[in-house]
Amino acid sequence: MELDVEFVGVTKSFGDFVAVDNISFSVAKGSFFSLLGPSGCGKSTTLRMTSGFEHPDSGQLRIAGQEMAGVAPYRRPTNMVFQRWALFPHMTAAENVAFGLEVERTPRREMRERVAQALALVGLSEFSHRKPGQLSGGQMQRVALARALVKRPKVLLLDEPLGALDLKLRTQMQLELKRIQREVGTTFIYVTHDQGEAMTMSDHIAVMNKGRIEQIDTPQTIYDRPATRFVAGFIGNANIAPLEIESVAGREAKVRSGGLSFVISDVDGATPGKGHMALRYERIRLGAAAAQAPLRFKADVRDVIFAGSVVQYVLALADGPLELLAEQSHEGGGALLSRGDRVDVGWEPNAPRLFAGG
Amino acid sequence: MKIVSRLFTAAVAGAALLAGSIVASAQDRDAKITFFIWAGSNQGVVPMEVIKAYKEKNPKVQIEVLESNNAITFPKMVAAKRTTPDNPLVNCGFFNVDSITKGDVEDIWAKIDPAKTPNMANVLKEFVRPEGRGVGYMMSAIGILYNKNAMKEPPTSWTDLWNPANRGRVTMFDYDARMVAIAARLNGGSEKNPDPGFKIWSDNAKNFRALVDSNDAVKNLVSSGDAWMAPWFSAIAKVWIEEGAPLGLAIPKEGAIAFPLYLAMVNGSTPAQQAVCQDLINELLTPENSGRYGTLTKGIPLVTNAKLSEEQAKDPMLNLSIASHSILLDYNYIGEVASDWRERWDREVKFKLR
Amino acid sequence: MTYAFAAPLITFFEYSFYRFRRGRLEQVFTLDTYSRFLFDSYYHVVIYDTLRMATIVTLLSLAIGYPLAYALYRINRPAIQRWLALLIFSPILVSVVVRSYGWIVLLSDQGPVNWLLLRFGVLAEPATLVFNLFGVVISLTHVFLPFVVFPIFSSLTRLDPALKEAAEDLGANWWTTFRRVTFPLSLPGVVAGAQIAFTLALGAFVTPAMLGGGRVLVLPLQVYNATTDINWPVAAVGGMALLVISMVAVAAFNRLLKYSEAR
Repeated sequence: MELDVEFVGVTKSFGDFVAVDNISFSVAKGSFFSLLGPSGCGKSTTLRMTSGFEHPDSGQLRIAGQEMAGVAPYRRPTNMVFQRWALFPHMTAAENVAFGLEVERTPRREMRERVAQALALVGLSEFSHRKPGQLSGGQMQRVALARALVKRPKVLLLDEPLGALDLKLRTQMQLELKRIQREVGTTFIYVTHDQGEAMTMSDHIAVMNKGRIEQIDTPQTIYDRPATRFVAGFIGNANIAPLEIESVAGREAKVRSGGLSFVISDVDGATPGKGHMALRYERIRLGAAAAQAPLRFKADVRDVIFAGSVVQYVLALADGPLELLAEQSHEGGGALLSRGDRVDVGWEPNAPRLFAGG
Repeated sequence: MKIVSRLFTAAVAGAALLAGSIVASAQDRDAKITFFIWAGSNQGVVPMEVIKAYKEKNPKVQIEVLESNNAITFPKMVAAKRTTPDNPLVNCGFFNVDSITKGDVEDIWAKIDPAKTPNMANVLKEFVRPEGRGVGYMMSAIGILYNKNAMKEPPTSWTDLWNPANRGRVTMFDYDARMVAIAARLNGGSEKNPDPGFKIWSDNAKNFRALVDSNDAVKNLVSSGDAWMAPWFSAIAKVWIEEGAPLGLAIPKEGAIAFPLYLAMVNGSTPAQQAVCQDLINELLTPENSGRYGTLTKGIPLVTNAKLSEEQAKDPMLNLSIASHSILLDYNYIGEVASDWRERWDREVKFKLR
Repeated sequence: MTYAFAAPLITFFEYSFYRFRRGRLEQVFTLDTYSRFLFDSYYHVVIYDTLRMATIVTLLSLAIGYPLAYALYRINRPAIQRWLALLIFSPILVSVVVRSYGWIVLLSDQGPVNWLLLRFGVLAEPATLVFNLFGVVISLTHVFLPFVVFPIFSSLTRLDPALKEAAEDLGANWWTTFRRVTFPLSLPGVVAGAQIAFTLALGAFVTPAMLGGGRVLVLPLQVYNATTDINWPVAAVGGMALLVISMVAVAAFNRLLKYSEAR
C-alpha cells in the first residue's frame, strides 16, 4: 500500500505549550483521512506541519516518500483549503482558481481548460466571473476547493472548511466532498471537531486529544470499539460510568457498581481495580426486548426526552447508583414510557466497553 | 517678529473713548498708540528707550510696540486702511523708502506738524517729504556685500553683478527693484525706461545662485561662500562684519545707492494719538538719540546735528559724505510700477533661472 | 463657522474681478485680470511648474513611503516598530522653517552631502542640491512621508493574513505574492496617501520660497508675491485658480480611490 503522508514521532511546541506530542501515523494514498478532536488537541498544528506552515521540532515527516524537513510550502505537493476560504477578494472565481496555475506558468490554453474543469467539478461553472463578495458561503467554499484541486496536489489538506456554513448546507457539502474525493482520487486529510462529519466522510479517522493520537481506525471500529475512554465519550453518545473491576479472566471481566454485579465480555486488556465502562444509549434494551437480554436489571424512569425520531429515557438502576440514558427509535405512534415507571432494562455482555484506570 | 494682540478692538475702544476729546497739554497726554519698529540688528534699542522714558513721564499713555519688517507689515497697513480707515494698524513708526513711496498711492501718511516737532528742522532738506508726510531719519548705503575668502579683490562696480564671468555667484532679495533701476541706468536707460535693465538681467540670470526672501538667507549664502556677492545695506553689513562673518562691503565706483529710512505718522489717528506720535518723533530726532541710533545700527544719520561718535566721524561709510555722493533713485516712480516690474522680473529673469 | 469660511472666499472672489494698474487698485468690474491669467503663457508655465512639482513629490513620496510602510508592517518586535514609526513621523514635529534651514545646511555646496560626494570621488565639483527644484522636492518628500506611510500601513494591516498563506500554498514566492495579492489589495491606502501628498504639495509655499532660490515658480508663491505688492486682483485670481486645481485633484483622486477599492 502506498503511503502519501507519514508522521514518525513528531513533536511541536509553542513556547512552553506542547501542541503535538510524539505522534506517528500514516495515510494511505487515495484515502479520505480525518483528524478529529476538540479545540486545542493539536489537529490544526498537525495539518499545518503537513502543509509546511509549521515545522516539527523533532521527528520525521514524509510526503509521497520524500522527507519534508526545511521544505517551504510552495514546494510541497500539497494544497490547502483554508477555514475561512482565503479567497483573493480582488479576483473573480475563475482568476482565483487560475492563480496557482499562473504561478506555475501553465500555458494559457491548458490553464483555461483546467480551470473550467475544476469549476465544473465543484458545480460552479456559471459563477466563474463573480468576485468573492458576490458569492455565498457555500459557493466560496467550492471555489476554494477548486482552487486547490486544480493544482493536482498529491495531498489535499482541509482545515475545518465547513465550520462557517449552516447545518443543511454542511450536510450537503459533506456528501459533495466525499463524491469529489472519490472522483478525483486525491488523498484528502480533513481536520474537524465534528465527529458526525468525520464519520460520514472518512475512510480512516485519527482521534486526537491534548496533542496525542488516541486511536486511528475506520469509523465503524472507532464507533463500536473505542480504544480509550476519551474516544468512547467523544464519539457518539455513551454512558460513561465508573466501576470496580473485580477480576479478569481472558476476555471476560467481572465488574461491580454499587449493589450491581455483572460481566463484561470482549475485553481488551483490563486489570482489577478502578475502571470505567462506556455503554451506548442505543445498546440498552427496554421492556419486552429486555426480557430476552442476557443481562437484566430493574430500573425506574426518571425522565423522558422526546426528540422526534428517537426517544431518550433517563433510567436509575434499582440496585445501584448507576444512572443511564437509553435511546430508542420512535416507531410511529408507539406508546412511550412515563416517569416513575418501573421497567426492565438489559444489554449484551459485550455491549459495554471496559477501560481500566480511575 | 512679535505680534501685538488686540489690535483692532483695542484701537476701536481707544479711539471711541477719545473721540472728540481735546488735545491735552504736553504733560497730560492720554492716548493709546501702536508704534512700529524694525526687528533685529539693534534697530530697536533707541526707540525702546525713548518709549520707556516717555511712558514714565506720561503715565496715562499706552504704547504698544509692533516689531516686524516693512514687507510684511505694509500690506497689512494697506488692508487696514481699506477696511477700517479710522483704526490704522499702527499710528506711527519707522518706514523705509519702499513703503513711504507706496504709501503715497494709498494716502496713508499724515502730515507731521513742524510746530509740534521742532527737531524736524535739523533734517537734511532733501529728505523731508512734501507736506511733512514723513521725515528722513537714517540712511543706509547700498553697496556690494562680498565674501572675503572667495574674492581677494573686492568688486569695484555694479556691473560686476551681471558680468557673465560671475555665473552662479550672486544672491539677493527676490526681487530688488533697485537692481533693475541701476542696471537700467548703467546700460543706457533709466527708471522710466527700464528695458535695458531687464535685458541685461535676463541675459545673465544664471548669475544668481539663488533669489531669497530673508536677511538671514543672504547672510548665510554669502558667509558660507555658496554665493560671492550680494547688493546689500551698509548698516546691516557692518553689524554682520562685526559679528565675525568673513564679509566685506564694497562701494562701487559709480556710487552707493541711497536707501533712506523715514519716521512717519499714519492717517486716521486721532488728534490725541497724533500728539503722542509727534512727541516721540521729536524725541527720536534729538542729536543724542539720532547719533546713537546711527552708532548702534551703523546707519548714516540724516539729522545734521546728530551727535556722532568718533568712529562715525572717521568712517566714510558712516557719515554724511556718503549721503551726498550716493545715487538717489526715483523711488516714487519705482513705487508705482513695482508690481508691473515684478511681473516682468518673473517672466524675463526668473524664467531664465529655471 | 460657514460664515468664517465663506466670507473670506467671497471677498476673494470679488477682488478677482478688479484690476491693479500702476500701483493702484481699480475697483471696477473687469475680466481683465482673469484673461491675463488664463491666456498668458507665463501663468501656464507657473501652473505647469506647480503640477509638475506636486507630481514629482507625490511619486517620490510613494516610492520611499511604500517600502517604509511595508517594513513597518512586517517588523515583529514592537519596540523597533515604535522607533521606526517615530522616525517616520519626526519631520512633522519640527516647524517648516527650522526644517528648511536644516536642509539648506545639509544640501549646500559646503554641506555634508556634497562633502561625502566629493570625498568618495563621485563628483569633481559640488552639485547644486538646494535653491532649486531638487532641494524643494527632497524637503517636501521628507515631510510628506508620514502622510503617505500611515494610510498604506493601515491598509496593509487590514489584510487577511490567511491570504498570504493561501498564495504561498498555491506556489507563489514572496515577490509573486506581493505583486499579485498584497500590493493590489493595498492600493486604496496608496491612493489615499497620494491624494494627501499631492494636495499638500499644491499648496506648499514656505518650502518653495525658502529652498527654491527663485527657480521654483509655483502658484502659491505667485499669490504671495502679488499680495506683498498689494496687487490683490492677481492674488485673488491666483488663489481662485489654486482652489479650482485642488478641487479637481481631490475629485480625481476620489474616483481613483473608488476604482481601487472595487478591485
